[in-house]
Amino acid sequence: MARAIVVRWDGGESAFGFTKVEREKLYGKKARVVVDETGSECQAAWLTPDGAVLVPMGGTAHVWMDERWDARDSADRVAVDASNQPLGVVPSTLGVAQDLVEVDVQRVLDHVTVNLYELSLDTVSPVLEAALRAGRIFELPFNYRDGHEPESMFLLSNDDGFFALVGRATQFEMVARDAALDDADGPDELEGDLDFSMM
Amino acid sequence: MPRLLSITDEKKRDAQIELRTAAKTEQLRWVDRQGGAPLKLERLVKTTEKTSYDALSRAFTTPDALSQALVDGDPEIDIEQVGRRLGQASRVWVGASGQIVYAARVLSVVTDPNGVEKSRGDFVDVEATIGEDLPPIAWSGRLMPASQVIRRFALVRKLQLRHVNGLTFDFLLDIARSLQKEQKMLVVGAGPRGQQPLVFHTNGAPFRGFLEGRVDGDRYLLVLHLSNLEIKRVTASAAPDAGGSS
Repeated sequence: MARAIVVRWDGGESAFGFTKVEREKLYGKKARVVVDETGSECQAAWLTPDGAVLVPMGGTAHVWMDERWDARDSADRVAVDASNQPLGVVPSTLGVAQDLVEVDVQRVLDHVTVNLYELSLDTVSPVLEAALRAGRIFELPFNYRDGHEPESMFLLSNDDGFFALVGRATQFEMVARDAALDDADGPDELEGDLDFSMM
Repeated sequence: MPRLLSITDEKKRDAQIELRTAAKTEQLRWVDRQGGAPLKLERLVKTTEKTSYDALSRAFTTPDALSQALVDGDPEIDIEQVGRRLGQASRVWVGASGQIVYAARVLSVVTDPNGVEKSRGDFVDVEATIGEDLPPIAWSGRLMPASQVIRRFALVRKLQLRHVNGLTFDFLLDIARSLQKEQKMLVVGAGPRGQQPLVFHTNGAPFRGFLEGRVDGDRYLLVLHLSNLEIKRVTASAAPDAGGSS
């Protein structure tokens, strides 16, 4: 049985089923297809820098290596923070009741949406359902699977149904007049944002 | 690296300002559990074109012959290449015979949500609609309440608008003040009337934009929220009788 998003609010527990909302499911997609002179579809492959080896897609494997070029199993590694302190594993929140906190619109705007889920009301308390229908927004911690960086999930509704937005905090700050000279060395998120799907 | 672009305010004045993406949260690192040595994820060669399933199928002609060859030896392993680092490899296209195609033609194939092909034609580059050397983003004048925007659109990218000098500080502060006063977000698009999608570079993803402004004393926050996904149901089941929450 599929795991559910389970929440606790106003003394009651509710469970939502969820389905990922993606552009392809809503709009279809626009793909690039490469054909040869006879019109036959070509397959992508990698040519090594020395031109010696042609590697088909799927012909590579990702392996954890140390500085001496010794391979390590995934179980032999541990995540650390900037000060080399081991990071604890945050278990998946699916199937585990999470406390809801009511938030305002600005809180949602302070997060960039990384995943969108359509919700089905499996066993939802009438009080929570009514609150969502009334336009109230709730936040809960969310981890799809065990991990180190928990995300925030926002529950809301619109005329089409009930939805959950998984968000990552943007951490934008107010700027003052003298802030213009600050350097910004971060990556440009839009640089590799190639997209050939439909608008 | 910040990007530069021009934007117009409601008085039809334009100025060049800078765009910054959201700061990444602190990246975690992976180390060896025993010695603490830093680990790196490397992409290594597993199979080459000569030892792929397609190549072996061509070489051994029948499934039985291929099966026997796999029992008798290791034809699927290129012992000289397996485990080699892929490095800065080049993307190429190969034909049915496994040879590199030098005269490839790129097509654009459009399919509907059910995967049914709708059209097929030559791929045409989609040019950027906004950028440092392109006309300024027009003030569309269309305002939407933020509560409506967050319920209709998944805001999948965010960019902060920042000033580059004292003049543009006043310019952006005024825009932020105006939007905060209205308690609404400005619908942002490219083109003279702001109705075209925002495309930041050639063949980049097209977005709709929503500009949000906040002011705190003499400080401001202007965020361009970008969306290419509406908040809609994708399942076939009937929509619940959701009440008015727009």
